[in-house]
Amino acid sequence: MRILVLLLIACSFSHVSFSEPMEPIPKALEPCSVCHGTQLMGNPNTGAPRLTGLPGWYISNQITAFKKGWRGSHPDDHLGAEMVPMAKSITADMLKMAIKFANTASSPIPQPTLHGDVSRGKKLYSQCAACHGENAQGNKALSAPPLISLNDWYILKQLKHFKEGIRGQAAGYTNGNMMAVSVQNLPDEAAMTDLATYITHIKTEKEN
Amino acid sequence: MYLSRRHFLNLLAATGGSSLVYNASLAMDFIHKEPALPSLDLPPASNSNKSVVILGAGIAGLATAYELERAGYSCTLLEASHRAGGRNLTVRHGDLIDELGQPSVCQFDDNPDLYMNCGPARLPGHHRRILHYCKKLKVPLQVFANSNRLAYIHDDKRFGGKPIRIGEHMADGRGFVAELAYKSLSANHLEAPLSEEDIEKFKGFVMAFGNLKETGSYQGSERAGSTADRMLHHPIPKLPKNLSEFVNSNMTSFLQFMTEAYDWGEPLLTPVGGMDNIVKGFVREIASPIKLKAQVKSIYQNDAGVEVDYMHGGKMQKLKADYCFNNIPAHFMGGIMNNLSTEYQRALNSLKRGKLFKIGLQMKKRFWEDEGIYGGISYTSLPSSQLWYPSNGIFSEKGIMLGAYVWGNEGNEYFERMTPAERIQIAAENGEKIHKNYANYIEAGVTIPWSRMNHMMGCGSQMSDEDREKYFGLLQQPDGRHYMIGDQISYHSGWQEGALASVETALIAFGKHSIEQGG
Repeated sequence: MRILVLLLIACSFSHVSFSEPMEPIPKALEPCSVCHGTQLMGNPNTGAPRLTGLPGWYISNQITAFKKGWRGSHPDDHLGAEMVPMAKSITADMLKMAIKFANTASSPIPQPTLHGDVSRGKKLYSQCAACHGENAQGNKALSAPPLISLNDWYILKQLKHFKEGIRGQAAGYTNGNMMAVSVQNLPDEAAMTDLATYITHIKTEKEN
Repeated sequence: MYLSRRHFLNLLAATGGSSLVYNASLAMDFIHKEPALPSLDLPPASNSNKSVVILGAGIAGLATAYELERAGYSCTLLEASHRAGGRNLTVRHGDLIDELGQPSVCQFDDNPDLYMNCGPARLPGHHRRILHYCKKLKVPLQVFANSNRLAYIHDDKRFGGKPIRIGEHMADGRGFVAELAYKSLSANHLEAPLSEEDIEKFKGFVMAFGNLKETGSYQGSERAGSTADRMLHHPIPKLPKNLSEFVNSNMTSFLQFMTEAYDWGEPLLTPVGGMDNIVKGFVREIASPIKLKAQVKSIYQNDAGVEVDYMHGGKMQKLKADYCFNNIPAHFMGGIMNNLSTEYQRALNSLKRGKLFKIGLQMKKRFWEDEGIYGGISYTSLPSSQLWYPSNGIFSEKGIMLGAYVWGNEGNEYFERMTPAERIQIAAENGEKIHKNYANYIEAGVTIPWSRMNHMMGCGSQMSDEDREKYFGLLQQPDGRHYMIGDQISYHSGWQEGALASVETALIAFGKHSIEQGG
């Protein structure tokens, strides 16, 4: 029996298929993938979010926010600050390319890394749904981004930043200001963790 | 107060630095000497076990290729950057400073003496692996002045914000401590069973340590120089510093002993003409192709081999090999598709980005030589932290100084947010507090925030104690056909010796594995 199990493991290993053919990233965007990873899949260690699947209008809004200093200027936002010189070096053509690539390249669906309380997170999410949509699919008319394509660690970090005034305080950053007010209903980190966990759970629900 | 031997050693460590303790301990055979280099003795390549892909052409990647090639393996190196060497980076006239988001070009004069070692810069005599390769690759070395008693310690909050010669600082520090020890010996506060004669001899040592008067008091020492010309007059030592101000200076407690750390113990060595002569030596001696600007996108392995996808020349490329040696900074692995085991991936993710920052300045005049300084380091409490004076090119017209060397997140983030020009401005203002007209001597500068450098995004990787306990051993072992290498998986992150130790470990494991497979 034990041998059989070992054999099965060995077989399954040898049958792991190699990678699927990947869309080459345009040369001008290669620096993006240093932090954002292969096919802009995101990387928890550089703190760079997954961009694959994010709508063009949202990517464009965020580049503007970095360029104008609405994001990344707060002294405690070290990772945001790393994006500032990058955003400033992005031309209109590069932005177009980035939007196109983020929506044609595919990368693995984010897997859960947090272990919050899903049912509590679901209750908390009811107040988010009005803007971000019941399935966290986003709403362009309200400038509310989809959350389903983001990693839970990134969602949690941004919730904390909004709550702590690290993001969303700058004058002129209307969407961010709105979000900074909305997160005040989340009492603590546990609540934010539950919420981020639930959002990953929506993804899983949708997959199955 | 009783003074036990342990107390005495601790006291020595606190005042004379760890090297005194080290020497004392070595004399007592407390610690082992450095072992000899192990022979790698790699089994020769066979037809079924021949090809190796090496990811990253830093020091670890290059050394791996060098050794495997000599055992008959066919290696290919994939390097994301425009150059080989990783953090072994020496910049000269016209070189690209590849900072992510704000690249620049080095504006130093076109002169082989005017270079800046932006990564490693000094090699201690006990880093036997890197010195072994210097010898083997015929890289000429010179002595590198790391400590200089005529350089300065500068605390902007103490001693009127004036720089103080390190030798003066050291003489006072030892004098104060020796006076205290002398008093305690006189009162017979020693636990150890010493005879009267032993105690007298011990007092003699303490007096020599602090250059005390016959009475056992410290009244300044000519070790710090003299207020009168020493050639024409009997030396007149400066008066000791105010003890309270001395102990309250944040600089006192550690900066005096900086160069007494084992890795910075004199004499140090450095390649003549720049640290990257080691890289050039490897590149010269390696026949394997080194593909530059080749960014790895995925690493997949199965029982038959390893397959690596990478971008090169605007196209996706695929490389198949029997084995993979991975020198990519571990913090990038979370963004590179792979099928390494879950536990191994977790271990890789536990390695966090470290930060380190350097500035190199071309000075139109070697003004430090007018102050009697030839090589060595000054330390300041200001953001730029350290100033290094070149050991090369003495009495030539110009020189490259290190204008800032910053550790820790806070100091690094302060500089990271600036443009290169703003950083140089701060370095100029800080230097001005130590050397008159400093800013006017600056002709050109390079700034290297390693945690912002393209394809690097970190230096001196960090791991929590808990993660280290859990994962460090795992990362030093292969995962299937994948071997991790680099200073990141040594206890000497940020040192080439650490990178080479990781290669040694990986190749020994690889050799054992190959023999098992063959047999």
